[in-house]
Amino acid sequence: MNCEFCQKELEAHRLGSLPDNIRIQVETHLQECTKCTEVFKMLELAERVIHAEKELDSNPFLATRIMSRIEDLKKPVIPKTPVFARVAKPALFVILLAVVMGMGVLIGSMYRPVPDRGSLPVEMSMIDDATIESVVIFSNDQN
Amino acid sequence: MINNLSDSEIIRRVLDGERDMFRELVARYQPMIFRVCMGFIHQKDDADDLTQEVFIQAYLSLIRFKGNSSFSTWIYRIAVNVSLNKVRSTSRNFILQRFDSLFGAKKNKEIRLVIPDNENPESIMILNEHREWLQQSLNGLPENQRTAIVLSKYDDLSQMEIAMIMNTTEGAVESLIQRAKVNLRKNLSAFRKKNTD
Repeated sequence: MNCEFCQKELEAHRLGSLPDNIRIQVETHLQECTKCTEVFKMLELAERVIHAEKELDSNPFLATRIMSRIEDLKKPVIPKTPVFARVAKPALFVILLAVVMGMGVLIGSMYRPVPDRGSLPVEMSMIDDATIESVVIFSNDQN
Repeated sequence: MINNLSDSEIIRRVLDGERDMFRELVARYQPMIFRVCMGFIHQKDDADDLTQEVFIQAYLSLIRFKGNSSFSTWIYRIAVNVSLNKVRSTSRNFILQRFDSLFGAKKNKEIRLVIPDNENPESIMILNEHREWLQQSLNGLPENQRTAIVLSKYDDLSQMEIAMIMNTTEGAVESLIQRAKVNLRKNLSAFRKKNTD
């Protein structure tokens, strides 16, 4: 018997479900092979760990904790918003956005540039920006 | 009186507003769900929290339970999904912790396995030594193999029940369990070798 075959049968050997002829071969191999014996020991320990974990009981107050959490919840249903509310909100937002954009376009298109008259009025041509006018003319004191 | 009610009858009454009836479902399935959570997490306190999470999720989704499968199959599925999510997030945190430890951050305190009182101190010591090896060996399995082996070993479910929970065939479950056992054996041997060298 080789190690691969022996290790394949270790689980069944542990459970005592091997036929006699194979059981004897496995036992003989285990007596000679330290590697397979180690693997067998590891499997037994793994089973004991699993067994120990299975034996543990959950917190006796767990049901009370769960029910207390549930009490805080309203209903065992995921709150369903009506179709109208689900559709109306985003639709209203889109419509408002479209209206604002439309108004922007409308206001923008209302602008008309002032037509060029070609020549300046006479009064404008008399203004001399190069000189500073005396502020005295704005004074109330006419003396 | 309540004990005689079927799961579907209890569910109907819960949905009709008798919230307290859900306590009966918790009482019926709490031990099984706790064992599944233990199989994935291996820490009692975390498994308690996870069990609570499973029942809260089940309660919130109860309206969607159509009765196509049994309630136990349905809640086992929730338990597996919640546990796998927890395992994934724990793995991510583990990577971050290891990264932190490179920069001198404190290591998390070691968590010991809670062993039933009937075990002797020597056994407790040996089991605690090997618990981490087993946990890491299980963590090293692919998710579907791990789910199959946990449901089989921790809850002693038949291959047919596991197949229904995992939404697959019995043949596939048998193959998953076989491969999981082989991989588990390899992982355990590797850990043993690494720690004795």
